[in-house]
Amino acid sequence: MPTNMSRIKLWSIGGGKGGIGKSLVTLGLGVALARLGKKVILIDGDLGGANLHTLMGVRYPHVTLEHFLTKKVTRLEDTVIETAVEGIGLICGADDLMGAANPTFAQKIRLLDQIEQLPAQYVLFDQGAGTSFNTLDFFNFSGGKIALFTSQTTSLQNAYGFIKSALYRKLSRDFAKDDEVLQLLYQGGEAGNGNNYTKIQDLLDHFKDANPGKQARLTQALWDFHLFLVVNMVKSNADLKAPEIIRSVCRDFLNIQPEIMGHVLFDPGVEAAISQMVPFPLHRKKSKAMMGLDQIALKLVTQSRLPRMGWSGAREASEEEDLPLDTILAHPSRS
Amino acid sequence: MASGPFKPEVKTTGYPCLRLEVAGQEGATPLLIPVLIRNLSMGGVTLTVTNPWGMADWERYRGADCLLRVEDPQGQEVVNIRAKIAWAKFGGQGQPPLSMGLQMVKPSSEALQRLSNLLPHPSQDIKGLWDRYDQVRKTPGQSHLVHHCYITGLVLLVGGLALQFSGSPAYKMCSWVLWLLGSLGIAGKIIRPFWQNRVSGD
Repeated sequence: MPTNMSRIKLWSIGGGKGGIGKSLVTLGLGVALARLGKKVILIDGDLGGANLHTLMGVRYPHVTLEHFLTKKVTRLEDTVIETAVEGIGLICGADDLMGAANPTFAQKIRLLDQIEQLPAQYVLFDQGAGTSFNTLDFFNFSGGKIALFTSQTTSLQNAYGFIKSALYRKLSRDFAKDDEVLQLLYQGGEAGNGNNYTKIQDLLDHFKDANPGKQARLTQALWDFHLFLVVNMVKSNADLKAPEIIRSVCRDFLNIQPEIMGHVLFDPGVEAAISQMVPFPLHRKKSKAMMGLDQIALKLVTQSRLPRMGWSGAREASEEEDLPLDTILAHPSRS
Repeated sequence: MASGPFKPEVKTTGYPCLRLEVAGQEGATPLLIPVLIRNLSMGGVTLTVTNPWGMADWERYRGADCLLRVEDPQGQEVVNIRAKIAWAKFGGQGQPPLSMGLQMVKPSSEALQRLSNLLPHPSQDIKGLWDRYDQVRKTPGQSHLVHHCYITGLVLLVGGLALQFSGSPAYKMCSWVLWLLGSLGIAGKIIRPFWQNRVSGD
């Protein structure tokens, strides 16, 4: 199995819920990294609802991801447009083309291959809302995974749902040919089915005696799913408890240990910047939100130096794995 | 759509864990009805009554005060929750015979926890999420302390003012001390948001 243990270049910012500031945090993080002298490229991965270019002040992008996905442009590098911020390139999302929102497996592989070749030290991938397979796959294939949320109850629940979906998607790919693991995994995820596998730890315990080899593989898969938490729009100290709640539930039920990367303060100036189509970090000299993003950028740089499994470490999957989940479950051997 | 008779999802192990006490006809003994919990929110609870046939005209109980008794087969103390019946309706085939929504009156966190434990097959991790969320919300913050300081500060200021008018030079000295302490209490309330923002920003 090929592995990529080099420095992390691709970071995805996801979180399930819409309106929590994924695009703004991606933009702010890009600016913070650029200020550290890094060459950054932002990708608007919200296929079907792209707006990162608007936040960057680009009204009419002449080239987008759509051109690459439909092979009008051969190299992804040629879709990068320069922005008003020095050191930041932007690949605009595709929202005009029917079907661009649902790239095929081959398109996804081609995109991920070329992301690695982009002329930048850091590539920040702004994920769309929701938990579609495309969103989850891009998130899972990224060496750096940031789950973003706010302290609102809806956001907390969606963030946990997003993390759980991403983890289960990863495990279903890693164990695609193992019917037993798949069955236990998804039966355990359903409420009220009467079995005892309500936690990933229950699965590990089950395999501890039954099949230590599987237990080791499962443990490794969980270890590879390294996740960072960022809470956005923080208004009070109480809001800072939100990532602790998520971390605690993830630790107890999913057996993963997300790291709290930082927080971004609520900043009313951001809204004014959006209205004026000025990248918000450039709108004011001292943005409250940027203070947190500067610190997160520093952590991101540090974490990027630590070797972790990149996307090429994922098992090569077949086209069939894009089947709906219920189909995979009903016929696990098909994938 | 589900069909066939409704089957309760909760195993009560032969002992009613949850019972609803409602006032019966005038002068009659209150009704004590075994119920099952279906859903729970911060202020409301949805219940099903599996055998409501002995009691006619449930509609008239809408708006009635009632008591939800959470009993424990293991002998834990019974928790009584005061509530008001918000709605009641009979279900069709395959549905619970009678469902009702209760608006709880200031339920304690312990009562909510006990009710939450009776929920049929909740997703354990989501339950874990909300339990932690409730725990964080329940944790007494500094705001109560600051509020108490503020009130005490006001009282001290008024006390100081009263002493100023008392005339005695010794009391006047005390009044200055009270004013100083009172001002500090009030200043704490004013300064706290700025300090809090600074902490958040660090």
